[in-house]
Amino acid sequence: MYHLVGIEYFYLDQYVERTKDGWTSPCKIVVENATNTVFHGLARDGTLALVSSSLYDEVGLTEKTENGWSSPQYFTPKIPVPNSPLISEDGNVVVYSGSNDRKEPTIYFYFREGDSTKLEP
Amino acid sequence: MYMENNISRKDAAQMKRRFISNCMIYLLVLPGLIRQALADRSDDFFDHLNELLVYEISPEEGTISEFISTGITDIPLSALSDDWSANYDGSAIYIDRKFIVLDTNNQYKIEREIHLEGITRHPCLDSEGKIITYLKREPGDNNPSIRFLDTSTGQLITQYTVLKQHREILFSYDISADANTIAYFFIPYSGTGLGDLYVVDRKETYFTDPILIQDRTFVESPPRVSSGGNRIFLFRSVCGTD
Repeated sequence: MYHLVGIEYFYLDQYVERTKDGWTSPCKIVVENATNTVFHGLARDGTLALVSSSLYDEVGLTEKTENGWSSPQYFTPKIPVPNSPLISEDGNVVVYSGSNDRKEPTIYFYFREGDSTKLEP
Repeated sequence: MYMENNISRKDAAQMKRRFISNCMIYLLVLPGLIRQALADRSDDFFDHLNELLVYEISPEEGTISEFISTGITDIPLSALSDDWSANYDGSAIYIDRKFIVLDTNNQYKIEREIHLEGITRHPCLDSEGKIITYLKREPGDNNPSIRFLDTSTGQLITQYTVLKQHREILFSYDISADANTIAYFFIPYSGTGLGDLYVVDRKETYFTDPILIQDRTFVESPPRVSSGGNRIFLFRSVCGTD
């Protein structure tokens, strides 16, 4: 059954990998325990992806393992509806921005091993 | 990888690990400037920003630096959308025809002006900031090429001219951070949203024949090539399902 979720869309993702025998057939990225998965960013080394719930109240990180893509490790952003997050190339820092009061835009950094850090320009 | 400099793929991988271990990530951010520009709104506000600033981030220490001023001013807003790139560790930036590097005193300076010819899109610095790649298309011409410039001289290293039958690539391409792998969509099924995904590898100054990765797939955004060119990701949106 299909349904629309506001103006949101789900994103389906595929990837192909280079092997010694050439390129693999396209595979879907299936992330377990991720509801309403939306991909926003991807570490450039291709090992880590960023997912979010459809309500943007959680942001999750997932990485490719031998058994597929890991269950997301979620954190709660400091603002309810962050702009599309970016992820650093090494996958350790998530940067997102937004505003609580719709006046002062603020940039937030989430360090994978620590809590979010607020930075006020 | 980095064949021009006789650096092997193994060496490049070691360099990358070193970067990661250092965990020094520079990010270009501009909202502060936007806020300032709003406060100082002038007639040309919608055309230019005042200054380019950089944050320096150290995830290991959990610190974020104060703004580092690049000294680069009067940046067209148009450059922010599709005309700039930073290399892997942020030590090199290309924006609005300016090639900017971080010197040993942690100061950014304009190294040189590099003019990208034709109708250009999507300039991309390689990891080391030694090569800038971009898509070139002449006005009224349907003959695009992906060009590789040496940032130390601004001169053309080589270029990949898209095959005649593949010339409708419509800017949907990406290139690996080592500038050796190009993935692009050939879109022959006009109006259907479908395209064929190809990969081309650069070997110094020549290119391999395009390899068909997937045919008749939906094209919604450019493919994303991983840093080392070993993975390609496609993104697409569909309505949710129960």
